[in-house]
Amino acid sequence: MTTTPKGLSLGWAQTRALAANTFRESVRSRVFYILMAFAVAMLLFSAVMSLLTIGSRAKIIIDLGLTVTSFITVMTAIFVGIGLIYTEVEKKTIYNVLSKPLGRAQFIIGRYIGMMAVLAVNLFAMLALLGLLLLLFKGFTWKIFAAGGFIYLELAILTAIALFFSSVTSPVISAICTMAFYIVGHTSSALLESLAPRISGPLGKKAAVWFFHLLPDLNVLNVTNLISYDIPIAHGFTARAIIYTAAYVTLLLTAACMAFSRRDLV
Amino acid sequence: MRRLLGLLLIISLFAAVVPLHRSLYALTQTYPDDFRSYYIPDSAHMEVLSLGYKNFWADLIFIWSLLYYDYYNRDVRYTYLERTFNVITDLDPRYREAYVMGALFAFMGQKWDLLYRFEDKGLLALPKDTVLAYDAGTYALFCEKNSERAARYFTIGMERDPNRTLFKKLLAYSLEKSGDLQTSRQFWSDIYEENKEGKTPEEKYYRGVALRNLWDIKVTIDTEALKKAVDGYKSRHGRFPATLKALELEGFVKALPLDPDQKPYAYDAKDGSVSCVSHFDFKAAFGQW
Repeated sequence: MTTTPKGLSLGWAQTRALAANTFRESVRSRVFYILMAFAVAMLLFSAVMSLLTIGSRAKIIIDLGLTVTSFITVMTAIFVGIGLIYTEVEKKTIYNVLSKPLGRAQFIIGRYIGMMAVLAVNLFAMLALLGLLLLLFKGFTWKIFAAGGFIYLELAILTAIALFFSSVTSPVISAICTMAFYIVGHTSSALLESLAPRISGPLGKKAAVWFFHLLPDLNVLNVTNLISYDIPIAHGFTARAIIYTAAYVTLLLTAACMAFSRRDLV
Repeated sequence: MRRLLGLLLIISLFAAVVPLHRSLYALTQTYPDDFRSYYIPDSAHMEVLSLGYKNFWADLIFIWSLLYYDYYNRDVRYTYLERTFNVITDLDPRYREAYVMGALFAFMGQKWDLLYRFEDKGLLALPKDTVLAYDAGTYALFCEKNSERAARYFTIGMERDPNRTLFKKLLAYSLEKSGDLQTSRQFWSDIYEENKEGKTPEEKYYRGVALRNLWDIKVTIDTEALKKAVDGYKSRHGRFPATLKALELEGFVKALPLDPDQKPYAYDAKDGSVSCVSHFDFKAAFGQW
């Protein structure tokens, strides 16, 4: 009776330490700073673009700002996330980590939590800058933070995908596969709409629909288009989106843990 | 030394790039306009390519199109105008500015059908919007001089915002221009009744405009009726009547109308012309401005 809580507590302390280490490692990464600098430049550029338009400037800043925020944080998740496991294996530092009383699954989860903490800071910094720009142009809305919440859900899925691929293959292949999931995740609904009428036979159509529901639909979490027109998010949408994300993340992390536990590190 | 040489090479290559590009760019300017135009994928493809960030892409294409279509002397500019603004508004159907600007660019090329296609698409996509109804109506009334079409758009505006006198006024004016004087008179009467006790400058303005137009419509209706009667008299007798009273006596009119100032209309027996001698009192109608 006493071993389980103690074991759990020990496991959590180690996972937390690993997460903190991942956080420190990632924020020191050069890729992280390059992407952050690019993000700041793009957000300021959105303010310049708004001066060229006719009509609402705040709309342009919100549309461009949220898209840039989403895109840059996704790039951070992919390009920092893909190296999380592979670098440790390549540099052989993983032997030091795994020689401690730490399971491989804990290693994966610790890495994931650390990466999500980095992305939270990254996302919040960009939303704060976007908020400042909107204040400057008298178009501030708290809803950009709601949109940020949904961007974070998307990041949770993408980081889990990146981590899964990072635990089984090289960074280049991981980057390609994660990018492919990102593109498919954002185009599947539009593709289904345009392709479904062209598929002949009810079986083919059903298969296409099933395949569409099976793939991670990242576009369903994209509410940026609603924010600029102040359209309310549907009742019950947030809870379902969180559950959907949690299910996908659990699925991917379980697969990553299983793949990594079987991996021969020698 | 090697580093210095490398640096010098980079600087000299940079210096060479500028004149090279200048000469290349100058050559592209010699091509016909069609070859310097642009291509934009259709809406379905753009929707997929946008990766779900449809507003973002709509904004980018819109801002770019503002810069591109602002250039006046390009014959080919209308080739893709409809497609460009259709893509923008398909990506972001609530983008009112895109409908307005698409219509403006179509107007600059006097492409009336295209202009109204943009406006109609916007009116369908934004069922509560009145700006597009006003925009389309004013193009029709003041630019195309098509008062029937203008009346249709102002009717939409009035239905969407019944409390706004502006649409009622424009509709009444359009109907007056299109020759539907009776309906127009009814609208002007309504405007007068709604504003007759008004104290604000806007209400006083609408009251004055209504009075002015009611005056004009009454004069037009009366003089047209009298002219018709005069022509009828001439075809029966071979000459114009000596006075207007003759028309009443011979049953061409039931009773001789008086002008809005309750004075008889002037009549010239030499050419049978009928006119109003009274003048509309602007000061009384509009007050001191």
